[in-house]
Amino acid sequence: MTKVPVRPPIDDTQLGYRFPVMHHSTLDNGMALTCIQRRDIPKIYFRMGFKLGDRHIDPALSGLTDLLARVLKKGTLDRSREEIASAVDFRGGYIGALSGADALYVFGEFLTEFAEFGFELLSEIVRRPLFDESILAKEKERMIADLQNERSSPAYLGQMQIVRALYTPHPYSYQKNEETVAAVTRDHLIDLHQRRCRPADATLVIGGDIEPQEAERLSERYFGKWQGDPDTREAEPLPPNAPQRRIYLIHRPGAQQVNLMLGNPLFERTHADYEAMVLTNKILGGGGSGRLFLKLREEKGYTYGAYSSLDVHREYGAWYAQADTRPEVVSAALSLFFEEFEKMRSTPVAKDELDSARRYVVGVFPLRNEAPSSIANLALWQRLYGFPDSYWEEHLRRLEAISVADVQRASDTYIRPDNMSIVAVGDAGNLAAELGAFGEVEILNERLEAEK
Amino acid sequence: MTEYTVNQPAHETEDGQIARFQLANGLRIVMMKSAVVPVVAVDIWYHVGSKNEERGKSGFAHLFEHMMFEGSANVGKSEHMRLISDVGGTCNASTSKDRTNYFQVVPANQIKLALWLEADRMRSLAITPENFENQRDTVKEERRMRIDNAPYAPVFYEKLDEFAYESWPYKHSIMGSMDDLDRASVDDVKAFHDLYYQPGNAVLAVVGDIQIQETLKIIQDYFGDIPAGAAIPPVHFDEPEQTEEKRLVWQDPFAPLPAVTFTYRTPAYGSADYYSLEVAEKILCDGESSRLYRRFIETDRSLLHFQGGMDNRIGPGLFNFFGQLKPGTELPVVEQALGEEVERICNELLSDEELQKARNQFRADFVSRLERNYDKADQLCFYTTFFDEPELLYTELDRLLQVTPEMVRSAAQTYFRQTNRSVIEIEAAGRQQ
Repeated sequence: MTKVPVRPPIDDTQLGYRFPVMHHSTLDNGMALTCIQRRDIPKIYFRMGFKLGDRHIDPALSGLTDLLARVLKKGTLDRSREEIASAVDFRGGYIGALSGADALYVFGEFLTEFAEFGFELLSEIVRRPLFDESILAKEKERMIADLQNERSSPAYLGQMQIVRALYTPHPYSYQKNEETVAAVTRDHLIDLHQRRCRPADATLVIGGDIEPQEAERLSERYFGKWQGDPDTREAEPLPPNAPQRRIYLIHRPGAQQVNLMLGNPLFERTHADYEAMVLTNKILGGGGSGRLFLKLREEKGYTYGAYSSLDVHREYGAWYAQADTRPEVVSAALSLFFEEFEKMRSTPVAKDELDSARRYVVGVFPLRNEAPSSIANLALWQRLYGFPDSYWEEHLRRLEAISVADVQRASDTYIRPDNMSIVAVGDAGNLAAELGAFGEVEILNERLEAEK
Repeated sequence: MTEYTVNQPAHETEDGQIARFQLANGLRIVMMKSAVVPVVAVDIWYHVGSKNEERGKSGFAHLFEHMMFEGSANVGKSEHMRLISDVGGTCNASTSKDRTNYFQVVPANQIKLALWLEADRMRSLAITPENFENQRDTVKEERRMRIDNAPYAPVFYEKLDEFAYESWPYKHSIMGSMDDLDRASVDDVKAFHDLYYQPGNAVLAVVGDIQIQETLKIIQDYFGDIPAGAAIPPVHFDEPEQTEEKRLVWQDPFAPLPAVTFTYRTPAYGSADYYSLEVAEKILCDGESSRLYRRFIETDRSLLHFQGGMDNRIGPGLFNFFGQLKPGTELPVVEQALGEEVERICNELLSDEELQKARNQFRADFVSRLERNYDKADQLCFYTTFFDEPELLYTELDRLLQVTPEMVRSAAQTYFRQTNRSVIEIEAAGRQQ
């Protein structure tokens, strides 16, 4: 006789989650330090963040923070670019920097035996960058050439335009182009670095195979003498516009598909509706069990995937839905998107559907943060926002408390088809007239400029 | 009656130890306890990929992978993903030339659900013509998205193999042609499942916060009565030796800049020269201090982007170099520079420092691959499916560390020959008007 059950064997208990213990300290110069020890992997993960975002630069210099991130590790007062690359590669390590909407991140990963080297190099890179003229010139040249690469991707074009449509005139809408990158000089890098990359604005998270006391000792040794006052000038950026329904058609000659994106502006990350919107988004378009995926892919076969997502930052946010479809079914796909949006707004979700979404969002949290590197990322993010250590557990508890009525209210408030920004990337040919049925169409070229 | 053979001690293993078993129906099982986080990865590999497809049926192994989510005896269409999502888990699947895998990562207390779902779709599928048409459309959209509508993608995912190989198994793309996708039928799905989706052609890996014996009991209960299948037809590569360079010009409508690929034929994964070429890959291509990055990006500044590396295929392999030309660069300049660097690795021994660098990089890579339970499960499946030796997860590193400068030079001389390569010049066709 078979021992196989005919119903899915589901365990009804939900495993509790405790965020790993964080050891915090502050150096005399104000640098914040957090250590999260984990001994099973013989590796150290460095995650450093500075409060340096889009709002701290002049839009005429868009790309400045990206360039700062690219040039930081390409030479210090102590080591040339080649010496840094050789030293890192020789140890099988990794070091890099990235600019985000609200912060500049510098990160590194090294085997435990090279831990001290990691501290030494990270310290050199953030404290004593060279900003060599010729290296800056090369990086600018590469960044400008890369713009062509980026614009050859329809997904990139769609993403850039939806961000621009939803965030203008807030600094999150700033986008680099050939002119803004060309305008950046060495003095701009030095000035930005001096203003924003200061110990009092720096947070260093160290995860992995290291004792907290040892992390503190090495941080003191390599960052303790770092001096510099924080920049206290903070301009108040403008809030985003409240856009009207408008369709942006980006003409991509010969395109085989149409990349669709639809969205509305949203709130800041600390807003009380954040958790309600996380669950609303999961029900509408989160992954392979979201309504959009089931309708547009599993029922209709219009697309490989249809999803929605939240893009929420310190000051503002947005949500958007997306799918890539063959040109013949664009109108049908758009109609289905709007049907699903209206359904979210007008009909309460079933309690089961909400519970299912909640079980996923709460349950997947420990899975997504299985690796020590992911935990270090979360810890850095939490500290940059100034959230308490209990933040992640509180976030999970708030998700538990969201009701069907909360989801309905969030849907009604934030999913607004009447003033939705819609982006379509495809061959404009017949598409312009077809899209006209959904609203006023503006045709843009691959530089996102109005087509003449 | 012994329902499984125990090749390792049956007592509970310590974290990181590998336990392997086999059911009477042929299913091979590999488990590893890793209790740091309450997460379990369940990964199953079927030894079937696009290499097993018949002519005229290109893309079928991948299309079939989609059908595995369309329902089985006790699971409805789209229910697999919903059930896993419902418990806070994730799942997906992928098809390569050599194998197809299906995996779930779930909270440790939901291991039964993940195993039950995999057992149900190994035992039987419940496919309707509507579901099949739906997934055919979906896969065609996937093809448009990944290949037809993207710059350079037709070369990466299709032309490169079509041009470098002479024999069918690796020559055709995983995604398959639109015509072949149109030709596939529901009957093909059933036949494919019967032949390849049987316990003897599968390896199941479970890694995470588990009790080995308890998990084995569940697997036995769920998979034990699935009948063993027939013998799998062997794949014949019959790849003739290449005797002269091949060149192709490809017009890419979406490429923003011209580019080039140089592809050298290499031996299968696991052969002695394979490991020597892995060292060559580190020296030539890995990191900003690698020889080719320095040459092309920093010194000559002839390329905007460069990448290179070797496939880990179980049949005849390829070592690819891809370069995107900087505006103003002429192809012969790039070709000349690559020729010089290839000549150098063929003629000069690596320095002690370079060798040590490669070894440190292998050690760091090895450690990084142990960070997540899924990555460990996937490696266990790889080593068990193709070599029946899951312990290679730990010991494979030694083969890389034992490579000497003489071995690298010898392998480079054997494979980095102009007569052993294919070159594709990619023209930015859309930019010329």
